[in-house]
Amino acid sequence: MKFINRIFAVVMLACAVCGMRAGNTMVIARLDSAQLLMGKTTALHLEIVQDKGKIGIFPLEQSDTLSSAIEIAGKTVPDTVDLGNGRIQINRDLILQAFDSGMYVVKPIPFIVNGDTAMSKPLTLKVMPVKVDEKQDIHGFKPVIEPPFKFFDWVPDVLIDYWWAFLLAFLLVGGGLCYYFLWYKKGRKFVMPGRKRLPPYEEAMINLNRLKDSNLWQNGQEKEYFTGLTDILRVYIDRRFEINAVEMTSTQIIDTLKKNDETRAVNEQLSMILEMADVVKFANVRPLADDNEMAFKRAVNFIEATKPLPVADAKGKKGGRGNA
Amino acid sequence: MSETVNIRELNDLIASKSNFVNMIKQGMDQTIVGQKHLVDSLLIALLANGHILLEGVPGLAKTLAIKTLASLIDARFSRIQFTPDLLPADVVGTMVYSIKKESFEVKKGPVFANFVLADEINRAPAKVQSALLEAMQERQVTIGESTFSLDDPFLVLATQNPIEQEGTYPLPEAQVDRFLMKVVIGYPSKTEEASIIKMNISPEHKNIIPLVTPRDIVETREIVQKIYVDEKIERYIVDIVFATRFPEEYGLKDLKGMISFGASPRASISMALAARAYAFLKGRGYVIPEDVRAVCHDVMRHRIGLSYEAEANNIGADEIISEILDKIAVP
Repeated sequence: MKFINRIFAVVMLACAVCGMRAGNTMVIARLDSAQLLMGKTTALHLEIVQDKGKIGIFPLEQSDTLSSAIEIAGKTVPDTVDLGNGRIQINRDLILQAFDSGMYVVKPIPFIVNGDTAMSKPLTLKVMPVKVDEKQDIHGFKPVIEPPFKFFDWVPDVLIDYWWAFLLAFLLVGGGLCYYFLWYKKGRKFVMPGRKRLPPYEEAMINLNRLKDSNLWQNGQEKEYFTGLTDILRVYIDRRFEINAVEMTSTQIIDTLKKNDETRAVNEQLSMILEMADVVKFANVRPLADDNEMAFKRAVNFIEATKPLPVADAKGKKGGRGNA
Repeated sequence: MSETVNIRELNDLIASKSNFVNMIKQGMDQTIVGQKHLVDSLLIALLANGHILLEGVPGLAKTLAIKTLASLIDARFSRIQFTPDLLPADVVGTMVYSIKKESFEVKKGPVFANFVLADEINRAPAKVQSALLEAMQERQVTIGESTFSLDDPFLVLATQNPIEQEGTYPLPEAQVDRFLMKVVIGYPSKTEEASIIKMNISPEHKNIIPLVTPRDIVETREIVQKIYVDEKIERYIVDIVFATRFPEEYGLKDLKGMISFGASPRASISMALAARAYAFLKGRGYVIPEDVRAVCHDVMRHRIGLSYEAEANNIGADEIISEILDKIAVP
C-alpha cells in the first residue's frame, strides 16, 4: 500500500510540473495593470524561456483578439535574450484593449515547441467604464485632425532618392526644347530671345553693301544678283510699309505702293528694278553690266528716298516725303 | 540688255502668233457680254490642251461662249445634255446594224467634235461620266473592236449647276482631277446685263465668221510648249501644291484641319501648263509668278478636299488657296 501511495505521489508531481511547462519551455505572462479604462490600452508582457536552437510557434501571431471582449491592438517585435547554459528568453508585449466594461479572464497564452504546448497562467483584467456626465450636451464626432503641411511629405520618395537623375533629365529636355524652338523652328537660324533687329533702312543698306561686295554679277551670276537685290527690297518694303511684299508679285507690290504717298516719287524706279529682275530671274536673260549697276543705284535711291525721317523732322514735314 | 536669242525669238514669235488671241477675244465680244474670265479660261484650256469644268447657275452664256469659240475657230461643236437615263453609247457612239449592207456599222457619238459641251455632267450616272472622262484623258474612243482618235483640238466644257444637288451624281475626286481647270462664273454686272438685253432684243443677227482654223490652234500649242518655265517658278508651284498637303510646314497650322486631302501631282503639272498658256495670252515667252497666281484658283479649287470643319465654318477652297498664296514667298 505504501508503494502504491509513493507511485501515485510521483505521478501527481509529474502532472503538476507539466501543467506550467512543456518540456523545458516556460511561459510567464503578466499585465501592466489589472485594471483598464474602457478604450484605453494596457500591455501584456510575455516571457518565454526555452532551449536555444529550437523553433517555437506562437499561435496568437495571426490573431487580433484574446477573447470576445479583449482585443489585441498591437504586438511588439520579439526580443531574445541569451540566458546561458543553452537557454534563451523571448520577451514580447501584446497591447490589449477593451471596449466593454466588466471583469474578464485572460486565458492562458500558449507557446508550442517541438509539438509540446507550454501555457501561461490565466490572468484577470477588469475593464472600468467611462464616467459619463449626463448633464452635458451630446456632441458629434470630432473631425480628423489634419497633420501640419510639410513640403517634403508631398514629394515622392523616388524624386528625393534620385534627384540627380531627374535634374539631368530636366536639363536634357529643357536643352532639347530650346534647340527646337530657338534654332530649328526659326529656319535653322539661332535667334536669341530679346535680340533687337536693326531698323529696316539700316538692315537694307547693310544687305545692299554685302550684295555689292559679293561681286555676283561680275562672276556671271546675274540671276542670283537680281534675286538678292529683289529679296532685299521686298524685305525692306515689308518692314518699312508693313505690307507682305515677300509674298507678293512685282505687279502687286507696285499696285500697293501706288496708293502710298511716301513712295510716289520713286515708284517708277522700283517698277523698273522689279521688271528687269523678273526678266533676269524667270527668262534666263543676261543683262548688261550697266543694267546691273543701274538696278543697284535705283534700289539705293528707293531705300534712301523712303527712309523714315527722324521723329522731330517727321513732325515738321508732317509726312511730306514727296520731294525725296 | 543682252538677251539670249531663244527668248527674243520666242517673244517675237509669240507677238506674231498671239494676234489671233485678240481676234478671238474681239469675236467673242460680239456675242458674249462680260464673262472675260470664262473666255480667258477657254483659251487657256485650248492652248494647254486641257478641259474645263464650269460651275455657274443656268443662263450665264456657257453654251453660247463655247459655241461662239467653236465658230470662230471653224471647228466642230456638239452638245450633250446629261440626264439620268443617258448611256455611254449615247456619248461615245455604238455599232448599228445596217440592213442594206447586212453588217454592223460604227455610229460615232457626239464626243467626236472639237468642242464638246457636256451640260450638267453630274446628272448622268457614273458609267456615262466615266465614258466621257476616259475619252477626255485618252483622246480616243473604242467602239466595238475599232479604236478611233478624237479630233484635235479637243476641248470638253463640262458644266455643273451648284444650286440643284438633288438627283445628281457628284463627280468622284479622281474624275474631277482630270479637268485642267474648274471655272466658277458669276452673274454679270448691271451695265453688262443692260448690254445683254440690248444685244438679245435687237433684230440684227450677227454672223460669226471663222477667224482661225483648228490647225492654227495646234501650231500655236507648239509655240506655247516652248515658253520658258524657270526652276524658280517650278519650285513656287511645288510650294503651293505642297502647302495644300502639309500646311503646317508653311506656317498654315489653321488650315490643317480644313483640308482632308491636298492637291495631286497632276495639279502641279496642270498649274505649269495653264501658267504657260496664260503667259502666252499676255504675249510673254517666259512664265512669271503672276501667271501662276492668275491660274492658281482655277487649277486648284477642285483638287483640294475640304473637311467637315471647313464646311461647318463656311470656308471654301478659294479661301484656302488665297491664304496659301498669301503665305508662300514669291521667288
